Amino acid sequence: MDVRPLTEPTFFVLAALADRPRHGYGVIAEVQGLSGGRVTLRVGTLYGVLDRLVAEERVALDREEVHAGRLRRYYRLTDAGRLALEAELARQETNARAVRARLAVRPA
Amino acid sequence: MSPLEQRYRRLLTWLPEPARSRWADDMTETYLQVETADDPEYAEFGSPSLTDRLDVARLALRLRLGAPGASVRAVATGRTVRLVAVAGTVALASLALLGLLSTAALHGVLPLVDAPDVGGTPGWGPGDAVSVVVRVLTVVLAVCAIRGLAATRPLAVVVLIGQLVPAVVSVIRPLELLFQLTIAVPLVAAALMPPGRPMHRPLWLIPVPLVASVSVAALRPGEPPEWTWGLFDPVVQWALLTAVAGAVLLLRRRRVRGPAELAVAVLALATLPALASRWPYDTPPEYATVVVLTTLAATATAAVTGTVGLRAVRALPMVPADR
Repeated sequence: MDVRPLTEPTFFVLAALADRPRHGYGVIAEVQGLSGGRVTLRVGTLYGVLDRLVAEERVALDREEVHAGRLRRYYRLTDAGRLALEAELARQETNARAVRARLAVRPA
Repeated sequence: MSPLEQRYRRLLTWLPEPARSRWADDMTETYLQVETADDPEYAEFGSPSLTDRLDVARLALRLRLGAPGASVRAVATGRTVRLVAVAGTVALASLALLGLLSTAALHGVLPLVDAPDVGGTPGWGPGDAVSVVVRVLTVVLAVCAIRGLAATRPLAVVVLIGQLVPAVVSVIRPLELLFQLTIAVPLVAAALMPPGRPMHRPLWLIPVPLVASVSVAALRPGEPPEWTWGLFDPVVQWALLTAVAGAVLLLRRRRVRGPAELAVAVLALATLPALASRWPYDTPPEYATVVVLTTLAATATAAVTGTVGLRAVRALPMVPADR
Protein backbone atom coordinates (compact mmCIF):
# COMPACT_ATOMS: atom_id res chain seq x y z
CA MET A 1 0.00 0.00 0.00
CA ASP A 2 1.05 3.58 -0.75
CA VAL A 3 2.22 5.08 2.58
CA ARG A 4 2.80 8.64 1.38
CA PRO A 5 0.84 11.32 3.28
CA LEU A 6 -2.44 12.25 1.59
CA THR A 7 -2.75 15.68 0.02
CA GLU A 8 -5.28 17.97 1.67
CA PRO A 9 -7.94 17.69 -1.10
CA THR A 10 -7.59 13.88 -1.12
CA PHE A 11 -7.84 13.74 2.67
CA PHE A 12 -11.01 15.84 2.71
CA VAL A 13 -12.64 13.96 -0.20
CA LEU A 14 -12.10 10.64 1.61
CA ALA A 15 -13.36 12.20 4.86
CA ALA A 16 -16.47 13.55 3.09
CA LEU A 17 -17.37 10.03 1.95
CA ALA A 18 -16.65 8.39 5.34
CA ASP A 19 -20.21 8.42 6.72
CA ARG A 20 -22.28 7.88 3.57
CA PRO A 21 -22.14 7.97 -0.23
CA ARG A 22 -22.32 11.44 -1.78
CA HIS A 23 -22.51 12.94 -5.27
CA GLY A 24 -20.07 15.54 -6.61
CA TYR A 25 -21.82 18.63 -5.27
CA GLY A 26 -22.44 16.83 -1.96
CA VAL A 27 -18.69 16.17 -1.62
CA ILE A 28 -17.83 19.82 -2.36
CA ALA A 29 -20.35 21.05 0.23
CA GLU A 30 -19.20 18.50 2.83
CA VAL A 31 -15.51 19.38 2.34
CA GLN A 32 -16.35 23.05 2.84
CA GLY A 33 -18.22 22.17 6.04
CA LEU A 34 -15.54 19.79 7.36
CA SER A 35 -12.79 22.33 6.84
CA GLY A 36 -14.79 25.17 8.38
CA GLY A 37 -14.97 26.94 5.02
CA ARG A 38 -11.19 26.92 4.59
CA VAL A 39 -11.07 24.44 1.66
CA THR A 40 -13.28 25.04 -1.38
CA LEU A 41 -12.74 22.33 -3.98
CA ARG A 42 -12.96 23.34 -7.63
CA VAL A 43 -15.02 20.89 -9.69
CA GLY A 44 -12.03 20.03 -11.91
CA THR A 45 -9.86 19.41 -8.83
CA LEU A 46 -12.57 17.20 -7.27
CA TYR A 47 -12.85 15.02 -10.38
CA GLY A 48 -9.06 14.84 -10.74
CA VAL A 49 -8.93 13.50 -7.17
CA LEU A 50 -11.95 11.20 -7.68
CA ASP A 51 -10.45 9.83 -10.91
CA ARG A 52 -7.26 8.92 -9.06
CA LEU A 53 -9.07 7.50 -6.02
CA VAL A 54 -11.30 5.34 -8.25
CA ALA A 55 -8.22 4.08 -10.15
CA GLU A 56 -6.57 3.27 -6.78
CA GLU A 57 -9.80 1.52 -5.67
CA ARG A 58 -10.14 3.75 -2.60
CA VAL A 59 -13.46 5.13 -3.85
CA ALA A 60 -16.12 3.31 -5.89
CA LEU A 61 -19.33 4.22 -7.70
CA ASP A 62 -22.25 3.52 -5.35
CA ARG A 63 -25.31 4.28 -7.53
CA GLU A 64 -26.66 6.54 -10.24
CA GLU A 65 -29.84 8.64 -9.97
CA VAL A 66 -31.58 10.86 -12.49
CA HIS A 67 -32.42 14.40 -11.31
CA ALA A 68 -34.18 16.85 -13.65
CA GLY A 69 -33.24 14.68 -16.60
CA ARG A 70 -29.55 14.64 -15.68
CA LEU A 71 -27.45 11.81 -14.30
CA ARG A 72 -26.18 12.16 -10.73
CA ARG A 73 -23.54 9.68 -9.51
CA TYR A 74 -22.95 8.81 -5.88
CA TYR A 75 -19.54 7.65 -4.67
CA ARG A 76 -18.67 5.64 -1.58
CA LEU A 77 -15.52 4.89 0.38
CA THR A 78 -14.11 1.36 -0.11
CA ASP A 79 -12.33 -0.65 2.59
CA ALA A 80 -8.98 0.41 1.07
CA GLY A 81 -10.10 4.04 1.22
CA ARG A 82 -11.15 3.71 4.86
CA LEU A 83 -7.76 2.16 5.70
CA ALA A 84 -5.92 4.98 3.91
CA LEU A 85 -7.97 7.59 5.78
CA GLU A 86 -7.37 5.88 9.14
CA ALA A 87 -3.63 5.64 8.41
CA GLU A 88 -3.53 9.35 7.58
CA LEU A 89 -5.45 10.20 10.76
CA ALA A 90 -3.04 8.11 12.84
CA ARG A 91 -0.09 9.90 11.21
CA GLN A 92 -1.57 13.33 11.89
CA GLU A 93 -2.46 12.36 15.50
CA THR A 94 1.09 11.10 16.16
CA ASN A 95 2.53 14.35 14.79
CA ALA A 96 0.08 16.43 16.83
CA ARG A 97 0.87 14.50 20.06
CA ALA A 98 4.61 14.91 19.55
CA VAL A 99 4.35 18.64 18.93
CA ARG A 100 1.88 19.13 21.80
CA ALA A 101 4.37 17.44 24.15
CA ARG A 102 7.06 19.83 22.97
CA LEU A 103 4.80 22.84 23.47
CA ALA A 104 4.02 21.68 27.03
CA VAL A 105 7.68 22.08 27.97
CA ARG A 106 8.18 25.72 28.78
CA PRO A 107 11.68 27.03 28.11
CA ALA A 108 13.58 27.80 31.32
CA MET B 1 -30.76 21.81 -22.03
CA SER B 2 -30.06 25.27 -20.55
CA PRO B 3 -27.53 27.64 -22.17
CA LEU B 4 -25.25 27.21 -19.11
CA GLU B 5 -25.32 23.42 -19.45
CA GLN B 6 -24.50 23.71 -23.16
CA ARG B 7 -21.52 25.93 -22.34
CA TYR B 8 -20.17 23.56 -19.69
CA ARG B 9 -20.61 20.58 -22.02
CA ARG B 10 -18.63 22.46 -24.69
CA LEU B 11 -15.91 23.26 -22.12
CA LEU B 12 -15.67 19.61 -21.07
CA THR B 13 -14.93 18.50 -24.64
CA TRP B 14 -11.36 19.59 -23.73
CA LEU B 15 -11.07 16.40 -21.66
CA PRO B 16 -9.50 13.49 -23.54
CA GLU B 17 -11.14 10.10 -23.90
CA PRO B 18 -11.86 7.88 -21.99
CA ALA B 19 -12.10 10.38 -19.12
CA ARG B 20 -14.60 12.52 -21.05
CA SER B 21 -17.09 9.67 -21.47
CA ARG B 22 -16.61 8.69 -17.85
CA TRP B 23 -16.82 12.09 -16.14
CA ALA B 24 -18.35 14.75 -18.43
CA ASP B 25 -22.03 14.10 -17.52
CA ASP B 26 -21.29 13.98 -13.82
CA MET B 27 -19.04 17.06 -13.92
CA THR B 28 -21.70 19.03 -15.85
CA GLU B 29 -24.27 18.13 -13.20
CA THR B 30 -21.90 19.20 -10.41
CA TYR B 31 -20.98 22.48 -12.16
CA LEU B 32 -24.68 23.30 -12.64
CA GLN B 33 -25.44 22.55 -9.00
CA VAL B 34 -22.54 24.71 -7.81
CA GLU B 35 -23.36 27.62 -10.14
CA THR B 36 -27.14 27.66 -9.68
CA ALA B 37 -27.27 26.88 -5.93
CA ASP B 38 -27.90 30.54 -5.02
CA ASP B 39 -29.50 31.75 -8.26
CA PRO B 40 -31.40 29.16 -10.38
CA GLU B 41 -31.89 31.73 -13.16
CA TYR B 42 -28.11 31.83 -13.71
CA ALA B 43 -28.60 28.69 -15.88
CA GLU B 44 -30.25 30.87 -18.53
CA PHE B 45 -27.50 33.44 -19.00
CA GLY B 46 -24.38 32.27 -17.12
CA SER B 47 -21.16 30.88 -18.58
CA PRO B 48 -18.09 29.09 -17.18
CA SER B 49 -15.73 31.43 -15.32
CA LEU B 50 -12.06 31.84 -16.22
CA THR B 51 -11.17 29.83 -13.10
CA ASP B 52 -13.40 26.97 -14.28
CA ARG B 53 -11.78 27.07 -17.71
CA LEU B 54 -8.27 26.98 -16.20
CA ASP B 55 -9.34 24.18 -13.85
CA VAL B 56 -10.64 22.04 -16.73
CA ALA B 57 -7.57 22.88 -18.85
CA ARG B 58 -5.30 21.70 -16.02
CA LEU B 59 -7.26 18.46 -15.59
CA ALA B 60 -7.21 17.88 -19.38
CA LEU B 61 -3.42 18.40 -19.48
CA ARG B 62 -2.87 16.01 -16.55
CA LEU B 63 -5.04 13.36 -18.22
CA ARG B 64 -3.22 13.79 -21.54
CA LEU B 65 0.07 13.19 -19.71
CA GLY B 66 -1.03 9.94 -18.11
CA ALA B 67 -2.63 10.87 -14.77
CA PRO B 68 -4.47 7.96 -13.11
CA GLY B 69 -7.57 7.14 -15.15
CA ALA B 70 -5.96 8.29 -18.43
CA SER B 71 -5.73 6.12 -21.55
CA VAL B 72 -2.84 3.82 -22.43
CA ARG B 73 -1.84 6.32 -25.13
CA ALA B 74 -1.83 9.21 -22.64
CA VAL B 75 0.35 7.18 -20.26
CA ALA B 76 2.83 6.66 -23.13
CA THR B 77 2.77 10.43 -23.82
CA GLY B 78 3.45 11.13 -20.14
CA ARG B 79 6.33 8.68 -20.20
CA THR B 80 7.79 10.46 -23.24
CA VAL B 81 7.60 13.81 -21.42
CA ARG B 82 9.27 12.24 -18.39
CA LEU B 83 12.12 10.76 -20.48
CA VAL B 84 12.71 14.12 -22.22
CA ALA B 85 12.70 15.85 -18.83
CA VAL B 86 15.10 13.40 -17.17
CA ALA B 87 17.57 13.00 -20.07
CA GLY B 88 17.40 16.71 -20.91
CA THR B 89 17.91 17.95 -17.36
CA VAL B 90 20.81 15.52 -16.89
CA ALA B 91 22.43 17.06 -20.00
CA LEU B 92 21.75 20.57 -18.66
CA ALA B 93 23.12 19.60 -15.22
CA SER B 94 26.31 18.40 -16.88
CA LEU B 95 26.67 21.77 -18.65
CA ALA B 96 25.90 23.57 -15.39
CA LEU B 97 28.62 21.61 -13.53
CA LEU B 98 31.09 22.48 -16.27
CA GLY B 99 30.10 26.15 -15.93
CA LEU B 100 30.46 26.08 -12.14
CA LEU B 101 33.92 24.49 -12.36
CA SER B 102 35.02 27.00 -15.03
CA THR B 103 33.84 29.93 -12.89
CA ALA B 104 35.60 28.51 -9.82
CA ALA B 105 38.82 27.97 -11.80
CA LEU B 106 38.65 31.47 -13.29
CA HIS B 107 38.40 33.02 -9.80
CA GLY B 108 41.15 30.78 -8.41
CA VAL B 109 38.94 29.07 -5.80
CA LEU B 110 39.41 25.58 -7.20
CA PRO B 111 41.82 23.56 -5.04
CA LEU B 112 45.03 22.34 -6.77
CA VAL B 113 44.28 24.41 -9.90
CA ASP B 114 45.97 27.73 -10.59
CA ALA B 115 43.76 30.52 -11.85
CA PRO B 116 44.38 31.29 -15.55
CA ASP B 117 46.10 34.57 -16.36
CA VAL B 118 43.37 36.76 -17.83
CA GLY B 119 45.30 39.99 -17.45
CA GLY B 120 43.79 41.20 -14.19
CA THR B 121 41.14 40.22 -11.65
CA PRO B 122 38.05 38.74 -13.31
CA GLY B 123 34.91 40.75 -12.61
CA TRP B 124 32.04 39.59 -10.42
CA GLY B 125 28.60 41.17 -10.55
CA PRO B 126 24.96 40.38 -9.77
CA GLY B 127 24.61 38.64 -13.14
CA ASP B 128 27.41 36.21 -12.24
CA ALA B 129 25.81 35.47 -8.87
CA VAL B 130 22.44 34.74 -10.52
CA SER B 131 24.17 32.52 -13.05
CA VAL B 132 25.86 30.47 -10.29
CA VAL B 133 22.56 30.06 -8.41
CA VAL B 134 20.76 28.95 -11.58
CA ARG B 135 23.51 26.42 -12.33
CA VAL B 136 23.32 24.95 -8.83
CA LEU B 137 19.52 24.75 -9.13
CA THR B 138 19.89 23.03 -12.51
CA VAL B 139 21.95 20.24 -10.90
CA VAL B 140 19.37 19.92 -8.09
CA LEU B 141 16.61 19.82 -10.73
CA ALA B 142 18.25 16.87 -12.52
CA VAL B 143 18.46 14.95 -9.21
CA CYS B 144 14.78 15.71 -8.47
CA ALA B 145 13.75 14.65 -12.01
CA ILE B 146 15.63 11.35 -11.77
CA ARG B 147 14.08 10.63 -8.38
CA GLY B 148 10.59 11.63 -9.57
CA LEU B 149 10.13 14.16 -6.76
CA ALA B 150 7.20 16.58 -6.63
CA ALA B 151 9.70 19.45 -6.36
CA THR B 152 10.73 18.86 -10.00
CA ARG B 153 7.92 20.93 -11.52
CA PRO B 154 8.24 24.15 -9.48
CA LEU B 155 12.03 23.92 -9.65
CA ALA B 156 11.89 23.56 -13.45
CA VAL B 157 9.81 26.74 -13.66
CA VAL B 158 12.33 28.60 -11.48
CA VAL B 159 15.29 27.41 -13.59
CA LEU B 160 13.41 28.24 -16.80
CA ILE B 161 12.81 31.78 -15.59
CA GLY B 162 16.42 32.01 -14.33
CA GLN B 163 17.74 30.91 -17.74
CA LEU B 164 15.42 32.82 -20.04
CA VAL B 165 14.80 36.17 -18.36
CA PRO B 166 18.46 37.31 -18.14
CA ALA B 167 19.05 36.04 -21.69
CA VAL B 168 16.05 37.85 -23.16
CA VAL B 169 16.89 41.05 -21.26
CA SER B 170 20.59 41.14 -22.08
CA VAL B 171 21.01 39.39 -25.42
CA ILE B 172 21.40 41.67 -28.39
CA ARG B 173 22.12 39.03 -31.01
CA PRO B 174 19.00 37.00 -31.89
CA LEU B 175 21.15 33.96 -32.74
CA GLU B 176 22.00 33.51 -29.06
CA LEU B 177 18.31 33.29 -28.22
CA LEU B 178 18.20 30.10 -30.32
CA PHE B 179 20.42 28.44 -27.70
CA GLN B 180 17.90 29.37 -25.00
CA LEU B 181 15.19 27.71 -27.11
CA THR B 182 17.16 24.44 -26.94
CA ILE B 183 17.54 24.75 -23.18
CA ALA B 184 13.82 25.51 -22.76
CA VAL B 185 12.65 22.16 -24.22
CA PRO B 186 13.78 19.85 -21.36
CA LEU B 187 12.87 22.51 -18.78
CA VAL B 188 9.30 22.79 -20.12
CA ALA B 189 9.10 18.97 -20.14
CA ALA B 190 10.26 18.94 -16.50
CA ALA B 191 7.64 21.58 -15.63
CA LEU B 192 4.94 19.36 -17.15
CA MET B 193 6.44 16.07 -15.95
CA PRO B 194 3.85 13.79 -14.38
CA PRO B 195 4.92 12.54 -10.95
CA GLY B 196 6.15 8.97 -10.88
CA ARG B 197 8.46 6.45 -9.38
CA PRO B 198 12.21 7.19 -9.35
CA MET B 199 14.09 6.26 -12.51
CA HIS B 200 16.32 3.28 -11.86
CA ARG B 201 19.31 5.13 -13.19
CA PRO B 202 22.19 6.02 -10.90
CA LEU B 203 22.82 9.67 -10.19
CA TRP B 204 26.43 9.37 -11.36
CA LEU B 205 25.07 9.81 -14.89
CA ILE B 206 24.99 13.57 -14.26
CA PRO B 207 28.76 14.21 -14.16
CA VAL B 208 29.65 11.49 -16.74
CA PRO B 209 29.69 13.75 -19.82
CA LEU B 210 31.64 16.36 -17.86
CA VAL B 211 34.22 13.86 -16.58
CA ALA B 212 34.54 12.39 -20.09
CA SER B 213 35.15 15.84 -21.62
CA VAL B 214 37.68 16.83 -18.98
CA SER B 215 39.48 13.45 -19.26
CA VAL B 216 39.72 13.67 -23.05
CA ALA B 217 40.96 17.26 -22.78
CA ALA B 218 43.52 16.33 -20.13
CA LEU B 219 44.80 13.14 -21.77
CA ARG B 220 44.91 14.24 -25.42
CA PRO B 221 48.47 14.38 -26.76
CA GLY B 222 49.44 17.88 -27.82
CA GLU B 223 47.11 20.18 -29.73
CA PRO B 224 44.22 18.29 -31.40
CA PRO B 225 43.53 18.73 -35.11
CA GLU B 226 41.32 21.74 -35.85
CA TRP B 227 38.45 19.68 -37.24
CA THR B 228 37.94 18.07 -33.79
CA TRP B 229 37.26 21.43 -32.13
CA GLY B 230 33.58 21.16 -33.00
CA LEU B 231 33.38 17.88 -31.09
CA PHE B 232 34.25 19.73 -27.86
CA ASP B 233 31.13 21.89 -28.26
CA PRO B 234 28.52 20.62 -25.69
CA VAL B 235 25.64 21.16 -28.12
CA VAL B 236 27.40 19.07 -30.78
CA GLN B 237 28.04 16.38 -28.14
CA TRP B 238 24.35 16.47 -27.09
CA ALA B 239 23.19 16.13 -30.71
CA LEU B 240 25.63 13.28 -31.45
CA LEU B 241 24.58 11.48 -28.25
CA THR B 242 20.92 11.59 -29.34
CA ALA B 243 21.94 10.26 -32.76
CA VAL B 244 23.79 7.34 -31.10
CA ALA B 245 20.89 6.73 -28.68
CA GLY B 246 18.44 6.75 -31.62
CA ALA B 247 20.55 4.28 -33.60
CA VAL B 248 20.86 1.94 -30.59
CA LEU B 249 17.09 2.09 -29.96
CA LEU B 250 16.24 1.34 -33.58
CA LEU B 251 18.78 -1.48 -33.95
CA ARG B 252 17.85 -3.24 -30.72
CA ARG B 253 14.94 -5.66 -30.86
CA ARG B 254 12.50 -4.19 -28.38
CA ARG B 255 9.06 -5.57 -27.65
CA VAL B 256 7.58 -2.20 -26.78
CA ARG B 257 8.39 0.88 -28.86
CA GLY B 258 7.13 4.42 -28.55
CA PRO B 259 8.07 6.69 -25.63
CA ALA B 260 11.86 6.15 -25.81
CA GLU B 261 11.97 6.74 -29.58
CA LEU B 262 9.74 9.82 -29.29
CA ALA B 263 11.87 11.21 -26.44
CA VAL B 264 15.04 10.83 -28.53
CA ALA B 265 13.26 12.57 -31.44
CA VAL B 266 12.24 15.50 -29.22
CA LEU B 267 15.75 15.83 -27.75
CA ALA B 268 17.34 15.67 -31.23
CA LEU B 269 14.86 18.27 -32.48
CA ALA B 270 15.65 20.44 -29.46
CA THR B 271 19.32 20.65 -30.44
CA LEU B 272 18.55 22.11 -33.88
CA PRO B 273 18.06 25.78 -32.81
CA ALA B 274 21.34 25.77 -30.84
CA LEU B 275 23.17 24.08 -33.73
CA ALA B 276 21.70 26.65 -36.16
CA SER B 277 23.04 29.44 -33.94
CA ARG B 278 26.54 28.08 -34.58
CA TRP B 279 26.36 27.89 -38.38
CA PRO B 280 27.76 31.41 -38.93
CA TYR B 281 30.93 30.61 -36.91
CA ASP B 282 33.76 30.08 -39.38
CA THR B 283 36.84 29.82 -37.15
CA PRO B 284 38.44 27.34 -37.48
CA PRO B 285 37.12 26.53 -40.98
CA GLU B 286 36.34 22.88 -40.17
CA TYR B 287 34.20 23.85 -37.16
CA ALA B 288 31.24 24.88 -39.36
CA THR B 289 31.50 21.61 -41.31
CA VAL B 290 31.28 19.54 -38.12
CA VAL B 291 28.27 21.60 -36.95
CA VAL B 292 26.45 21.24 -40.29
CA LEU B 293 27.10 17.47 -40.39
CA THR B 294 25.86 17.18 -36.81
CA THR B 295 22.75 19.18 -37.73
CA LEU B 296 22.05 16.71 -40.54
CA ALA B 297 22.55 13.77 -38.15
CA ALA B 298 20.20 15.33 -35.57
CA THR B 299 17.57 16.06 -38.24
CA ALA B 300 17.73 12.49 -39.55
CA THR B 301 17.55 11.12 -35.99
CA ALA B 302 14.52 13.28 -35.19
CA ALA B 303 12.77 12.26 -38.41
CA VAL B 304 13.39 8.50 -38.15
CA THR B 305 12.91 7.99 -34.39
CA GLY B 306 9.98 10.43 -34.43
CA THR B 307 8.21 8.47 -37.18
CA VAL B 308 8.80 5.13 -35.43
CA GLY B 309 7.77 6.53 -32.03
CA LEU B 310 4.64 8.30 -33.31
CA ARG B 311 3.46 5.21 -35.17
CA ALA B 312 3.94 3.08 -32.05
CA VAL B 313 2.15 5.54 -29.74
CA ARG B 314 -0.73 6.09 -32.19
CA ALA B 315 -1.23 2.32 -32.37
CA LEU B 316 -1.91 2.21 -28.62
CA PRO B 317 -5.57 1.94 -27.63
CA MET B 318 -7.55 4.79 -26.04
CA VAL B 319 -8.74 2.52 -23.23
CA PRO B 320 -7.93 3.25 -19.56
CA ALA B 321 -4.45 2.13 -18.57
CA ASP B 322 -4.32 -0.86 -16.24
CA ARG B 323 -2.74 0.29 -13.00
